[in-house]
Amino acid sequence: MATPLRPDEMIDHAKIDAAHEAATRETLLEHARMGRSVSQWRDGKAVWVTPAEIFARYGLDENGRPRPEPEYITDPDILAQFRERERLNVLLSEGKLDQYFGQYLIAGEGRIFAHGPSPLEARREAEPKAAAVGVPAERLTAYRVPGPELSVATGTFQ
Amino acid sequence: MTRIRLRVAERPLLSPCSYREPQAPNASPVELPLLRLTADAVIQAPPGVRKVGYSVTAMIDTGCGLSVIENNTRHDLEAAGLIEHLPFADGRPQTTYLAGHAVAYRLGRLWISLIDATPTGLASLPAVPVIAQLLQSPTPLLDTYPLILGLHRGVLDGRKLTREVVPPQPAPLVTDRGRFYGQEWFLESA
Repeated sequence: MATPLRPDEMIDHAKIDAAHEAATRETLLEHARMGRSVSQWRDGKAVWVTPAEIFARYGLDENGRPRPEPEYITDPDILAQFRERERLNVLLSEGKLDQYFGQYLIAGEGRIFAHGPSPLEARREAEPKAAAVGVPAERLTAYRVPGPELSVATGTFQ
Repeated sequence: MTRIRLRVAERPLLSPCSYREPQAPNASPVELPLLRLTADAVIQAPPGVRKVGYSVTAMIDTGCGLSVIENNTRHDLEAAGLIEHLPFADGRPQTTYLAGHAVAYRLGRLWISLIDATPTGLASLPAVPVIAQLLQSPTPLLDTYPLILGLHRGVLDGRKLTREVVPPQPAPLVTDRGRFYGQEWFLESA
């Protein structure tokens, strides 16, 4: 009768797979960094894989550098303001803000509290209305509803 | 290092513009949309000062030497205490020209970060000081975008602006139509 193997004598398949994967990665990236394509069997035929594809496979940019990690906004007031602006962008795209062309909307938490040509004056009108329904002033945003422009070739400064 | 996606807005036109190809006079006219490169921005207090940020949609205009803030929004930002006024070195008032009209301006410094709404959250490029012309009278030409982010002394300094070609695909929001027109724009920190 065979003697059972101790755990440290058994083949660690996961470790072998990981080592194989790491070696493959290093080899492919080395080719890519040298600007060389490699061949791969894909869908029943041999194809060339370019350096850019190799880099992309490992989450790198087209030059083989790590892709930048973004920073994220965590301020709840700014998050609320942008949620509201996204909502208004959708309404604008649907043509539901056309009656406000050329005005500022003071809005927050899914509601428009005031509108007018001056964001400062509209904000003064909006803040007490918003407070009355529990929306703090910090969560209000001034959203400009632009009207049509004059010409396709109009620059800002001429 | 951070990279955010900018937006290409499609603006409505009072008189839509199109042309015909001389070589194909019977073909459908070619429409020319009015596209603007924009960014969601947050104007905030300088580092170390706690004040509520001010969100705004800005236009990126590399043909504009400095950043510009329209008069109405300037009032709102001053009330929020988010503008640091900068006196002219020679103490004399200055004017800029918009569509041939002289407009008086002052100079100010604001801290502006740019935002990109991604599926995983609001990604941002950190706030940087922006020197801006603060217009002192109403200017209808700037009604569409009350904040213009210009070429120098602003959010573009020390950053890389890139335009990528992408396959055209549906993009229902008029405020975010770049993909529809086969282009995506990115701004990244160095």
